[in-house]
Amino acid sequence: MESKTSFFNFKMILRDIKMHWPIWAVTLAGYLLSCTTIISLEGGRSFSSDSNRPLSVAHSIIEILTADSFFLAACLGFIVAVAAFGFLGKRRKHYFFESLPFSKTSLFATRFLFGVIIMFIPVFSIYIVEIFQSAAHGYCAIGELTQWLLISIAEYLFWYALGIIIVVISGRLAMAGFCYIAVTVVWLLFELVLEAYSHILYLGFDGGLGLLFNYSDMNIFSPLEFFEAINLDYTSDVQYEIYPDGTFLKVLIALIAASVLIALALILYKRRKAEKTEDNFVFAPVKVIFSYLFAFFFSLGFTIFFTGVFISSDEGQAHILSRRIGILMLVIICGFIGYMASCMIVEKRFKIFKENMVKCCIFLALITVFMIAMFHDVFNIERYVPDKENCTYAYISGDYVAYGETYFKRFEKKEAVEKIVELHQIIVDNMDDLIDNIEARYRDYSHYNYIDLTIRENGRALNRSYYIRENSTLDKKIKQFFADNKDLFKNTNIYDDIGYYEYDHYYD
Amino acid sequence: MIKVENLTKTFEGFTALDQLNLHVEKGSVYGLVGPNGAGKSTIIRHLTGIYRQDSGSVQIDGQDVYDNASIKERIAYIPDDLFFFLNSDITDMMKYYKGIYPKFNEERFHKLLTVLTNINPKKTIRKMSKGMQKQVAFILAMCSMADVFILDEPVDGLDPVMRRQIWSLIMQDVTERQVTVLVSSHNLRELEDICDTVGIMNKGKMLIEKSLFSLQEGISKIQLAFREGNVPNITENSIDDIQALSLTKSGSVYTLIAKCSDSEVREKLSKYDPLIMDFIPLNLEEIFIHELGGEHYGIKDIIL
Repeated sequence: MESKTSFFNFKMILRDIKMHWPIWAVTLAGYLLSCTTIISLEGGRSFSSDSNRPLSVAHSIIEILTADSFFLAACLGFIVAVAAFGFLGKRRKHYFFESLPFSKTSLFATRFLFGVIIMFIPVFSIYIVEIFQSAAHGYCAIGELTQWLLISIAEYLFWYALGIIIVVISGRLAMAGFCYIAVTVVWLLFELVLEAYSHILYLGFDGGLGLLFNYSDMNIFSPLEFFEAINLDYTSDVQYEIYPDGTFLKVLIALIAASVLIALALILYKRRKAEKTEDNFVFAPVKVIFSYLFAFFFSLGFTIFFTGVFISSDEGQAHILSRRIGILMLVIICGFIGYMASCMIVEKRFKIFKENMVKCCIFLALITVFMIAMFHDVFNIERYVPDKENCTYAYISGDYVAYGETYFKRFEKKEAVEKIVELHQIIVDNMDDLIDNIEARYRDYSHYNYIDLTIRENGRALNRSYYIRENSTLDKKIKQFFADNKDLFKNTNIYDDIGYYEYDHYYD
Repeated sequence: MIKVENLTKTFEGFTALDQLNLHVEKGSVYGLVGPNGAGKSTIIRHLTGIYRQDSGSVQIDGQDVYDNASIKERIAYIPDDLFFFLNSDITDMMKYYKGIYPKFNEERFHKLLTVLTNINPKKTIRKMSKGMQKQVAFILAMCSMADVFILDEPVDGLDPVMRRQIWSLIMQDVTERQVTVLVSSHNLRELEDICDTVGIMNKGKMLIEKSLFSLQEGISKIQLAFREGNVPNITENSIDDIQALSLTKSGSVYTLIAKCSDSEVREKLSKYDPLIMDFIPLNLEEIFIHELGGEHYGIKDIIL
């Protein structure tokens, strides 16, 4: 007799796809609407040369597809994970599925595949539609769109796998908390490991809730680099480079990470006891991890939120010490709320204050130590200067009037890259002066100069943005640096590399 | 057909099943009874592969049930708490079951729909009454052509006509296809009519597992009537060689329930010279109450 309960049950998959049509239909409609709108807008523009219009259209398509893809992939990944595995949190439905003639693995595989299909219906559909749409505008965008497709697959799978793990290990009440932790951790890991050390102090606060306000900068595979690359290479005569170096490495890393997470999700799913349905925490050790991580990110996230609301705008807080004290107080208050909130979720009751007070105080002491360590750059993150030998290329941009024409240029010559590293060393050596600059910035926004460095070291990007007080010691040193290296950084304005038409078009 | 040995299951320190043994013969109907919280649903969830045992074994036809799709194909399960997909009508569910159970019989499905005429095939199941939903569950279970039916409170919520109809359909399958049925119910009167074997559970343990006949044979209910003015003073102590489970007096009539055979009781009570000594067959409910009475689960006299 032929078994109908082999690895995948397509009857079940088709039924679920039909049932969950709003998920994929709304995503697809969103993609189509945004692409169609942007193409219509592009079509309405006037160009002096028709030859560049197709490129511009393709550029716009990719731009709209990649915009906020981190946010979209994270949201959709979690939503689909809940749609596919949400039954684990509903007793009746869970018992129904478990009693059906499936092995645990085949039930997992069937549900997993269903999720993958509803997630990729919009992605594949828009891929095909946009190939035709760009072709209709006279540009063959298969290459760029295929790259986008691969990146999307990696992104979506990664978030979906993470979503499944969250659904498998937690009940409905704890799920949102876990999602919050997961998004923040992944973003931090991405910034710390892949982007290496960029804006670490700022990022420390910006994890957690802050990310909700900054999600557009969190495109996991195509963050700022992507747009920088477009801006730079769009003008290149040689090649239209959409994705910068390392993109495929990131895709590969994401796919490997997704595969590992999927395997982990299967193991956890098989170990999950059915009687734990509707429990907040299916595995006991997760409770401890949850309470501390939730409290940690809650305190940092809400601190950055309240810092923005109360501290940055307050002239009275301009002194760096009082600003730091203010931040520390916010961290402690938010840490207390976060820790107690996590205890309430863990214990599923409100009266938890007395018995958790000691543990909360220990947590607050630890987080205070961590913050003070960050303020004093104990981990040598802010003061880190890359090794010249390992740097492949660098970007530099800054205040046009103060530091000359140093816009958006990617320097690949060894000599130039080494000089940029030297510039970074100058800034680091004058860190005390820089702190004064920060204070000046809070007091008087109009008298500071801006400089941004991005240095590639072994494939990692070290990115720093500095606000330097006009006529300060450091400011003079930087000006001297550019004066000494005039030849090296001469004519680096991108507009010098292109003709009048592109210059005109850039402002279009 | 069904064999459970030394099954133990604990939930966060609470032992729900404690070294439980259960055996059901092929083609028989097994009634699982016990007070609330005895562990009936827990054992059923082990038998349907939902729960994994902490220790012991749960086997159907010699194979472990947990995570075994080929065995679960042969089980039809009707839980106490039914589940149907959102917005699904009975035809949708039939198609779903047909895609999952290899022996699903569509012809039988249409026949049963004509028998259970109350069901509107186009109506969303979740909008139906509890009784109607039970009927739908029955139809789907019966059409899966399973070898084992595991039923948790199956006729709860059905009207008397439909209850009889359903039982008659099940018994037809037992007779014709040698289906094995394990049914858990608090309706002991009903179980008495259909069960071959009964298992009485309490606190996660199997107290008794016997055929209904031998269960009734081991316990006697006797009424002793005496002439007015000649009523002897019988107490549980005075008849301690009989192992009385209960002794009540109403006027000149004693009612005794004892754990021994009819002949033994007749012999031992004849010394009181009763006017009438009547042996009344004990029903399952009485057996249940008296067995659990010994387990400190008797009916208590409370004045509110």
